[in-house]
Amino acid sequence: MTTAAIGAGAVIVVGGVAYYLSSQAPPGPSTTTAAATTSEIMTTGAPVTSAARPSTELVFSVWEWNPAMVKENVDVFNQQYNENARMDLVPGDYYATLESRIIAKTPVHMVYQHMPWMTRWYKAGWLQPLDDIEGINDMANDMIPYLWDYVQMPDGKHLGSIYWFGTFTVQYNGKVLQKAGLADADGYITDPPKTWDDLLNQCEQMKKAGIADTPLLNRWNQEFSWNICQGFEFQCICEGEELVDKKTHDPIFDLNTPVLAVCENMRDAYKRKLVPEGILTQTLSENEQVFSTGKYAYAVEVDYNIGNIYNVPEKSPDAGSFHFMSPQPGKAQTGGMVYPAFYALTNHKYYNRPADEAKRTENLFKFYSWKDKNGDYLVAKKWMKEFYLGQAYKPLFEDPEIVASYRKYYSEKDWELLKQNNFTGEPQWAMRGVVWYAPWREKLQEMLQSLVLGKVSPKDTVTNMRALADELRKKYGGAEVWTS
Amino acid sequence: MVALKSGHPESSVRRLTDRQFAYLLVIPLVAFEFALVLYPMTQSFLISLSTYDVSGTKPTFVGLQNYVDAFFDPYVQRATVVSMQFACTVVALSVLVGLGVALLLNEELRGRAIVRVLALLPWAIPEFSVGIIFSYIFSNVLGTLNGLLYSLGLIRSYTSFLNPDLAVYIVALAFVWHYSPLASFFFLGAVQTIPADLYKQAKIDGAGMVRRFRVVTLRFLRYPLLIVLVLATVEALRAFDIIFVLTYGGPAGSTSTLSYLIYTETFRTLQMGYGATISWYLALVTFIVTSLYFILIGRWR
Repeated sequence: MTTAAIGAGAVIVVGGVAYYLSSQAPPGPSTTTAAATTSEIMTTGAPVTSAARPSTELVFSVWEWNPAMVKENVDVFNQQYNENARMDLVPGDYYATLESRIIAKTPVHMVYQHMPWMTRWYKAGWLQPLDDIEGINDMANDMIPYLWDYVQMPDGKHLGSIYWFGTFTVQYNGKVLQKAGLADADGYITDPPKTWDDLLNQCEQMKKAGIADTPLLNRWNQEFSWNICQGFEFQCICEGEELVDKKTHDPIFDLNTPVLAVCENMRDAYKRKLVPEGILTQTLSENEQVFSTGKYAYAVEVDYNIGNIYNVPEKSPDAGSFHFMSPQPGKAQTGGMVYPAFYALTNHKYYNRPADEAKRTENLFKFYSWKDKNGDYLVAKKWMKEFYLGQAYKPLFEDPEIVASYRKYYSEKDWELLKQNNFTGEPQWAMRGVVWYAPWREKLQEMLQSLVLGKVSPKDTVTNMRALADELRKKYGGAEVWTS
Repeated sequence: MVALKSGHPESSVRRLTDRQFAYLLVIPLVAFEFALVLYPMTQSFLISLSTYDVSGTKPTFVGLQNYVDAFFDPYVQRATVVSMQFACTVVALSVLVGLGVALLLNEELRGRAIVRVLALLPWAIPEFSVGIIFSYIFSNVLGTLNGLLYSLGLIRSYTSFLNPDLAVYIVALAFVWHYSPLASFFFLGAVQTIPADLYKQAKIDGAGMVRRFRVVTLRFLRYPLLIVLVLATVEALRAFDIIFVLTYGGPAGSTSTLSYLIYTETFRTLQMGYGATISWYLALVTFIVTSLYFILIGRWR
């Protein structure tokens, strides 16, 4: 080997190492000098300081939904607060993965949450109550009141703030209903079904007429959160079935309450082949992709998908035809089921977090769930404007930019319905603070799928569900665990 | 005899006996095994003797109660049946496909080396990715198989392959696609050691193709077959990723194997004690089945 070749090799190696080291270096003072870039000033409204960023990372664990936007917001937070936060994307089974990490005390500072797990995690000592955070009362006063009430545990502590919330309703494809004579010339439903049996009868009518082979699309799979339990819970709310006593946390459903009718209806839908045969393994994203194809008349869906998929001409052949049904079929004649997802903080004590790290974590929380350093609803506004994720602050529903964005895909009637549903909504109170609910819900998935397939009768399903609820209530306790 | 010398020329030389030196060599390995195998297994067993639920209750020692509960638990019983269905399908198809492909690859083909590499590729793909590939193939709304059958006019509407009757076999099929190349690899190695003269002699003796395969080929495949059977069984019984991606254990628990049940009990309902119990139950099932292979192959001798 010649000297030149050795020299060239050495240069490449040294250069490579230098490049590697520079790319691995944490963003420090040298990258955030007093001479802030134009983009930084534009983004944050003020130049960032030249102080070194903290060495301890703040880890924000999220599930897979538009991670690019989350990352973008984390970057803004890092710039505004001269911080060192990182988005941690958790693929697959979000809760199971995070639970094992938290048990192992792997650093996690802020997480997305849903109610059944939030209750369970709090009881396990993994979540930080928000009540002592500086300025939290101002944030709470700013929120739509029932949402703040909803995150209050029986011990009086509040646990989460809204990442997004929306209303599950029956949505319909007006074009399909027009063919069945069930919608007017503008595509709005003329004869909304009063009961779930009426809805199935309409579906049967469309099936017989060859308008749609399986007119109803439901969420009946076994994914981690939005699964067959959610479809069941939605129908329970529609029928006024409360499932759990709010005060004692005792199960209160049995063969004499509306839950039996819900089970019978679910079984009936599958038996009469009004839902796709493969609906029990059909993923959420598959559901979303096919509802817009014109093969389905009704779907139980969340409100944001009208703006993200169904009424978007580039994504949907029937764009413009999708609307909310209101009220929902069922005895309660409700507007729908409000379903919130939360930001929650992991417990400072559990992680032995120093005071400054706790404070930084709370800054991250406030930035995401409320306002940025400049006092703007930065994150909330972006989610609403770009992805139609409902936010907890009423002024955002009047923001001209947001209204304009919604009105591209939501007709005036639907927009008004959406606001009405979200302002006066009906979240699922049954699962709030009930410690046995999450494990019950896990087992429920298989019970409900067996019911749908006809392996177990509706009566036996209700009996089994109740027996399991009683067993878990006995094992984990009810409301008394919050005071003992 | 081995000696360890100090740096000073006049210092005494401390000699180790062969036995001591052997222990010295083995200690790191034993420590490693203890830390990574023995300790976790002991912990797992201790946890299985408690009702350890990290989300609320404190661990309580319950002796063998979890094992009694598991024995009578209909979910465990059903999962055992599903595991057996899954494992039997995987083992049978892996042996058949593996052997068939090995015999094919043993032939004088043009570009044989490349074909051999390509045939091994599915094994190199992670199980999780295999699950995703097969979910695209078998999806009842967007699946390529449905699309193909529909285009050929063989079905009038998209059908659900992942139904309660078929799902476990579809998942097994995906697993066989992933695993059988490894079986081929073992069989191919063995087939190549068979002297060609033996086939010639058998032919002269009037043995037909089937008899030649039975008396010549199969004799040489006995030990690779044992390896394939044991590995396929163990792999099938602990398969998880493919089930998780394709069916989440559904529909209605029809693909909920013991390993999937361990996952749901341990990580979804956070019943660490009960989950550990089912893990030991699965270990016992695996031990019994693999022992049977050794006994049967031993008798074949």
